[in-house]
Amino acid sequence: MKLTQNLLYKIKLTLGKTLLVALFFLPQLSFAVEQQLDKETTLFNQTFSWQVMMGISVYSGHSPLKDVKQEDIVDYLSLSLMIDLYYKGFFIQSNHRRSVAITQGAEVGYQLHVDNDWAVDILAKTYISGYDPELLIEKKDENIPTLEGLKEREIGDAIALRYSRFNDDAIFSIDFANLTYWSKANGWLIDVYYNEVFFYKNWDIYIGGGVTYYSNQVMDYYYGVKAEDVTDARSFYDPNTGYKGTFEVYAQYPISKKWSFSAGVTQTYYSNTIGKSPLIDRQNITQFLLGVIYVF
Amino acid sequence: MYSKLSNGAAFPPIILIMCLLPKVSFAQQQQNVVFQIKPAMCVALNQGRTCYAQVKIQWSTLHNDNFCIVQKQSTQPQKNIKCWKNSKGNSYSFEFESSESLTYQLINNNNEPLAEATVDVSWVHKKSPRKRRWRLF
Repeated sequence: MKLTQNLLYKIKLTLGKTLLVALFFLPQLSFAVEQQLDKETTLFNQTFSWQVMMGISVYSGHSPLKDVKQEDIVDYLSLSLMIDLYYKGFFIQSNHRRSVAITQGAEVGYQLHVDNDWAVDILAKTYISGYDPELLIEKKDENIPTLEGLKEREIGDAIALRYSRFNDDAIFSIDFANLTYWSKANGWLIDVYYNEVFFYKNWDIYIGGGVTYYSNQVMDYYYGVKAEDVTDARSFYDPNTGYKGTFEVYAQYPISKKWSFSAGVTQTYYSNTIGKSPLIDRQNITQFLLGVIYVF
Repeated sequence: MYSKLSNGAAFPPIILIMCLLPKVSFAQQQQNVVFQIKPAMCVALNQGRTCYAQVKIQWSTLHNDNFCIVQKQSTQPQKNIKCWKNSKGNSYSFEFESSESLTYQLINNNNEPLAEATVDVSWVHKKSPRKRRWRLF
C-alpha cells in the first residue's frame, strides 16, 4: 500500500503537469498519433511536428532533505512520459539535453520571436519539485523529526519568459519565472542555463550547467520554517534569497530505431541560505542516472 | 507406340533445359556464394547524422579465384574495400561510417557481381524541418 502511494506520488510529480498540458493539445495530439509513420503532418496548410517518448530510469543520489534516503526499489525508479509537439508557434517540449527531462515533466509555451540565433518564448513549466512530508514519513519505518507535522510543499509551477541564444551545438537560455499565479510558493526565480553537445561516434554527449536564483518568497516556502511549524527538531528559519548551481554530463546512445540508452551524472550545489535550513541535510549532491527511452 | 510417344514427348524438355542451362549455371553459382554482412542495420540518434558500426562481412564460394568486396554508393564511384587472391572464402571487419545506406558486393576477377548485401542506416529521431529548434527532436 505504501509502495503504491509512493509510486503514485512520484508519478504525480513527474507526469502530472505534462499530462495536463497535453490535454490542451489533445485534438492535435490525437491526430498526430494516428500519423505515427511520418511524425510530421500537414493539416490545413499547417505542419505538426510531434514526438512522444517514454523513459524508464534508475537513479541514485541523496535527497537534499534531512533523513530522506532511497530505501525501496521504487525510490530508485522513475517512469516518465515526454511529449514534444509543435504547432503554429505553440509547443510542448522536454529538454533532451538534461537527465532531469526524464524525471520531470515537459514545458508548454509559445514562440514570441524566433531568429537565426536567438529566440524569445513564453512558457509554463515546473521549476521546483515539491514534496509531501506526510508521504515521505509514511513510506519509512522510522519517523523523520524534521518533517513531522510539516505541510506539503507543492511543485513550483511558473509562467516564464525565456531568452535563448543557440548555434548548432550549444544553447544558452535565461528564464525569468513568476510563481505567483500557478504555485503556492509565490515569488520568482531566474534560471540561467548553458549546454553544449559533443558527438563521439553514435554517442551524443551533453555537457551543461546552470544557476537558479530564488527570491525570498520561494526560499520561505521550500526551505523556511514558520513560527507555527517550530519543533525541537526544527528551529525557526527565515531565509534570504538563495541559489542552486548544477553541472551535468548526460549521454545518449541509440540501441535500435525505437530505443535509446541514456546515462547522466549531475552535481548540484545549494547556497548557504539553503544549506542552513533545518530541513536540508547537505549542500552538495551527486546524482547518477541510467535509463532507456522508447520513442513512439 | 510407346517408344515413339516417349521419344516425341521427351524432346522438347531437353531443348528447354539446354536453353536454360547458362542461366541455371549462373543461378547455381549465385546460390553457391555465401555473402553475409553483420549488422545489417546501423542506427544513429538523429536523421542525417553519420552512423558508426563495426561491420563484419563473411563470404565463401565453391572455387578458388580472385575476389574483391566493393562498396556502392549512389553519389560516389565504386570503392574497393578488400581484395583476396586465389581464395574461396574469407571474412573482413571494418568501421562503417555513413549517413546513408550502403551496398556491398562480392565481385570476381572479371568485375562481375556475385552477391550483394546492404547496411541500412536508420535513426531514432527524425530530423526537424525547422531550423535551430534544438529542443525538439
